[in-house]
Amino acid sequence: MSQTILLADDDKDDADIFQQALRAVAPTIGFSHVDNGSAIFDYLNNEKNARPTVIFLDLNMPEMNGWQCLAKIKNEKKFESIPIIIYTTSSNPREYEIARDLNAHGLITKPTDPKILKKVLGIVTANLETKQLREAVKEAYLMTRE
Amino acid sequence: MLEVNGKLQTGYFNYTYKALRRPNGEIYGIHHMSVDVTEQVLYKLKLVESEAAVRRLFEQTPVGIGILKGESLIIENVNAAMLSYAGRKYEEVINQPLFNVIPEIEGQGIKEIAEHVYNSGIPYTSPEARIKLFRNGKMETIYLHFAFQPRRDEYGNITGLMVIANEITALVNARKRVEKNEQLFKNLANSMPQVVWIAEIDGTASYYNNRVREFSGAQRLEDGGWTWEWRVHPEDMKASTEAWNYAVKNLTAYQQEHRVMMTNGAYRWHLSRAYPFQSDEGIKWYGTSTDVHDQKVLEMGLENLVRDRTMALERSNDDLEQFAHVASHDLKEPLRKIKTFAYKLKDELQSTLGEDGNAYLNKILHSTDRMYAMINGVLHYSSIRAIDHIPHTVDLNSVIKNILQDLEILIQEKKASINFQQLPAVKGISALLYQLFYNLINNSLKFSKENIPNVIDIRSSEIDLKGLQYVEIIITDTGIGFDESYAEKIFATFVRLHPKDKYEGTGLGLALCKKIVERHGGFIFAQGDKNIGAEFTVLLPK
Repeated sequence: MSQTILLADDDKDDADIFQQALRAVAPTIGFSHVDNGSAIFDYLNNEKNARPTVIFLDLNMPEMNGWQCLAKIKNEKKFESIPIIIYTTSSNPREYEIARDLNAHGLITKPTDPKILKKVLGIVTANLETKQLREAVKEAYLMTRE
Repeated sequence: MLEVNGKLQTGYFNYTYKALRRPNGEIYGIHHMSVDVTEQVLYKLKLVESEAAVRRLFEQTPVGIGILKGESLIIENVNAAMLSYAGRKYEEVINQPLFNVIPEIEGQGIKEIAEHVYNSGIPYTSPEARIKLFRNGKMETIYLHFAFQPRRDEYGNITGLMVIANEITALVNARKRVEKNEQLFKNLANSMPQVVWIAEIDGTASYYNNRVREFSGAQRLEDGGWTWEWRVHPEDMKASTEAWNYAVKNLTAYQQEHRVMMTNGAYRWHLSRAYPFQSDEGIKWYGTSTDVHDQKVLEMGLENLVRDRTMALERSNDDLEQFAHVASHDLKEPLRKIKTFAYKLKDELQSTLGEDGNAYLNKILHSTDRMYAMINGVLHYSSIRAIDHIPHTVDLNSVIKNILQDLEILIQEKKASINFQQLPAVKGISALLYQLFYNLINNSLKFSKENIPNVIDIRSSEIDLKGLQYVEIIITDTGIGFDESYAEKIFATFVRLHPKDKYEGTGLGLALCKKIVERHGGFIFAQGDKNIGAEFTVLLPK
């Protein structure tokens, strides 16, 4: 079954870098990108779109912020099972805990070094749709924590 | 003395002896008659006895009594007391008309009173009559409590007067003295610019001076005194009442500042004070209320100024913190991009860039990292205040141990040796104390001499400063040191003593140390010798 990663991030550069890294590490995995919170729901509710295997969710988006999106997605029966990884520039350890409290699979800090991003995506993609995904995200988090 | 019915008794007999004669006058016998007159005699004796008793009473009573006969009030009898009041002798006045023997009494109204009592039969009493009499060789003013009573015969006709008198001069004089003193007190009290008051032992006010008329709720009483309802500002009422009740209950001094309503309806600040005093009449409270409105307003104005300034300062601190938070985040964003793309350049275009290109990129990356550090440093420094942790006992030994562990790599790199003895515990916030000593030790390591291993000593002792106990921690190193003239400057923000390429640093490390130490109520200072070493002393309250 083909897997897709949905990235919600309003920063175009970050989205490009993410896509490039992903393509380098896991070329068979699909990639979709939205640039704000409500667009996520448009994407998800659109039958034509592939259901994401995982959602990378940026926190600092306009209109709806990442936490609100997270809560909303997890509240909908249809989508609550999709793993969500908070993807943020902030390195505040508190946010890692909040992410866990709100039922995200974890939090990853956006690495500045694309090499590290590739490592991160490598670990995550290797564990998609497995029980080890949470552990993998944690490992990635520790790697990115500066 | 006879024996009657077996008992010896005294009897009285009238013996009569009469000569018995024959018709020719010859005495042929004696007629002896004895009449038992014991009863009559005893009765008479009793009368005499009573009379004597009355006479004794009359003579000895301290109340002056005079018995006057007829319209001209002849002095039939007068006792010693009355004589002493009048300053006359018995022989001088007995059987004389009253007003003949005390002529100086003329014109003082006594004669008229006596005549009125004699004529109307209505008794007269004067509880306190001021009379001028000539006695002891001079005119004296005395006070008498006296009464005129009509004397009647068995038919009810007035036959004379009885006069009874009590001299109360001493009593009256004493009372007048007291009145005079009271008046003196009242005059003094009324002349004072404060409200003066007296209260009974139970706290109820019994006197106010005239100044109280300026208070709203003050009322003049019939006797000229004052009452006052406590028209105190509602916000001050509770505290004032409680304080007064407490003082009254415990007999402790009372002092209270409160707003009192004046007659014009405005409130003015007053300082009320009272003390309990023991007097003959028991415990009384003596108090004053002084108008302190103007001073108070000035004082409050100043307080407000200070408070406003403090609030403004706090606000600006909060703003600063918020700003710092936002600014640091927004400032870091572009940095992040710079780094990311610099990395990409390096990774993807390594060969095209060549050695120089790579070197430039490294410099870019390096500068970016420094910028990150600066921003984080500023953020950290400004957020110190926000940490409101509760102070607890911190074991400095474990703090240092953790620091040494975290700095392991740097220590190895610098080939430094760190010695520390058993350190005491202090009261503080462990996270901040960690930061404090981390910065100091990190500095020591950072500023090591190039090829000479740094020896860092940490020792402690307890000292007494101005009566308070402190723990003194001294960190000495054999690094590059600094010129003694910079000993104070180095604690200022953004001060660096070396070019940024030689020794990394934001210039905030020691400033942060100082802030943390001050937050704990302690002191920090430094000593240095250029090229020899440095010594940092930290004092923390125990």
